[in-house]
Amino acid sequence: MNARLFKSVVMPAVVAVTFFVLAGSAAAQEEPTELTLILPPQTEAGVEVFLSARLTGPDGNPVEDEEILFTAEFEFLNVFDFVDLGTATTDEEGFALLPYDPRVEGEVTIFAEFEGSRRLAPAEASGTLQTTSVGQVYSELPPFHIPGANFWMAVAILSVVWLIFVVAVTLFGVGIYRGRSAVEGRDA
Amino acid sequence: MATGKLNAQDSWTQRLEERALAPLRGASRQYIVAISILTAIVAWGVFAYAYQLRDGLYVTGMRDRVFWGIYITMFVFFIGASMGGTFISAALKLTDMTWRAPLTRGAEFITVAALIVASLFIFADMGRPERALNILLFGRWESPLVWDVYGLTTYMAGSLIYLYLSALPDLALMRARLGTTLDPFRRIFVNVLTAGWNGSPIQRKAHGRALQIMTVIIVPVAVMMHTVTSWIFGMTLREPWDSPMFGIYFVGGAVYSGVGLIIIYMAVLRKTHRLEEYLPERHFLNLAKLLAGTAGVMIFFQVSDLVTSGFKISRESAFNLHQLSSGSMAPIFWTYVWLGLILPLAIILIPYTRNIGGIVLAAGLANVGMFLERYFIVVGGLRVPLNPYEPPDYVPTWPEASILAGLVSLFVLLIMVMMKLSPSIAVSEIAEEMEGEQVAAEKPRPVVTAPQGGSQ
Repeated sequence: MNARLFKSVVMPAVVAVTFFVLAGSAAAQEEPTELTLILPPQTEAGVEVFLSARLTGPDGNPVEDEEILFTAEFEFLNVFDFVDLGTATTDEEGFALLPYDPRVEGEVTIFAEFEGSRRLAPAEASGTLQTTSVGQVYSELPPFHIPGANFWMAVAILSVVWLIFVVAVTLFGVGIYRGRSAVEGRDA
Repeated sequence: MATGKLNAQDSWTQRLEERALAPLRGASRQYIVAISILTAIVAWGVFAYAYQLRDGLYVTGMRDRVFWGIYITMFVFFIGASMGGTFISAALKLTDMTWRAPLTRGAEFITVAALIVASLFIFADMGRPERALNILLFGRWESPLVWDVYGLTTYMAGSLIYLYLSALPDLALMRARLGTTLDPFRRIFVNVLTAGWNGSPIQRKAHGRALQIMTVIIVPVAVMMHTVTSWIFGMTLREPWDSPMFGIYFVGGAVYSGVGLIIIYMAVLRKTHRLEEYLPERHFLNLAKLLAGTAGVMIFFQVSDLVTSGFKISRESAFNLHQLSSGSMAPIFWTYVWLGLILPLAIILIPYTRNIGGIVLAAGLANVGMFLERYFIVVGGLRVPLNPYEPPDYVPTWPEASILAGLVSLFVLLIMVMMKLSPSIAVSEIAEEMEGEQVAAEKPRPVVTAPQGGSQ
């Protein structure tokens, strides 16, 4: 009875408590980190800039060899979502640099995120990048028109093909009818 | 002597008819087993499609960046197979290649089955298939997707007319020889399709003219169809697809895989229907020449495309060349180059391996190669980042794999069903060619042989 009680209640309870204590102490042992996002104050659309994020530990020391994810929030057809711009790894001074080529004029919110590790707590930072435009990044050329190439030409080509199908089927149908009539006439 | 020849020819024709009609009399155990297995796979594919329809395209590996995957890959593959079938049948007819007769029916079956399956792959790729009609109602004429819908419909109609006209004399033969022994469904099917046909000279003449018109028109329609399919890619602002040679490149690939499929069909038919007499090694060797020639053309296109885009390299084409040569697409690309292009060519060029077994192997490899080529064009093209983001990966999920297996099985199933609805080889055409060859052989000596033949 005692052995069964030990196996079914005490042992699992001890294991669970040990697990939570260890997990809790592990979580408690995570060192706090700080992420600072450094963005150029202003840039021009079409000009490449570097997005920079610095990861530091609890005593302000740089954290090396950790991956930082850069994202930006964009809107398309009234839907806001995050777009991954890319990842960069921190150097010995804790800096992660990502080249970025802004394409649109206006203000873009950039996010830098450190997911954390077994030893380090996660951290994130955000900032805005003001992009101006000296001209259009994309220039639309006037369309090149081939004389006569339009909707009606496409319709005409398709119609000719279908007309040929109809001619072939009609020729065949008339032949079947005439051949049948001839045989029936001869039999009669 | 002439009577002897006539008797020999008659018995040859009778044997041909008997061999061609024998599989239509009933179904062997192997046929029933094969049909059952294929139907089970198709049913599994239908289940997977129902699952996908319920939960949406999220259950596939496709996402916002790689938005076309295995479905569009297979769509392009089957459009190619369909083009290869009728195109080869019609082109060989136009160029008076007399040896083509036994393989035309298979080519036409492949075309129709491949077109049906290709259009089903489009439906599999649609998140909201119930809106498919909208492309006809509200589609914009500026879009190559709309051109493709009209092209596909036109080619399907043309191929069905061509198949019907080509098969009509054989259907009439089937009605005459097997009419009463056929099951009710096939009896109605054959009677409806051959209604009014009595084979009189007037009807034969009209039939011949209609078939000739269709033979001429189906070749440009087939080329148009596959070129328009290539334009779906070629007219998109995406670096690896942005190539003016995409049209001819796709047409070349279509002929390559089409010839391969016809060779495989012939080999299976030869084995299962015991048609060694009518499908001798000569036919395989002739098609092998076509396969080897097309393999050479495909190698040329591939080199030309890569060298020109690599020479004036842009950031996007650099990414593409890297992913093909040593990146994540490299295993697919190099398998395509070595196993899909170079090995089939080598098998056919080396006399030791240039036999039926080798040619069928080369044909199978050619089709595997073309599937891989379509895959890295579609998926590899979409992996190229157009904005500064991480290149996405694509892995087909189980619903995609199941639907793929279901539709490929449906392709084989459709061909097997067609083989029970009409003779699998063009009996009338082969007999006509045989007569033509005999007449040609007798032509130089009519004055000498006619009296002798008459006296015997």
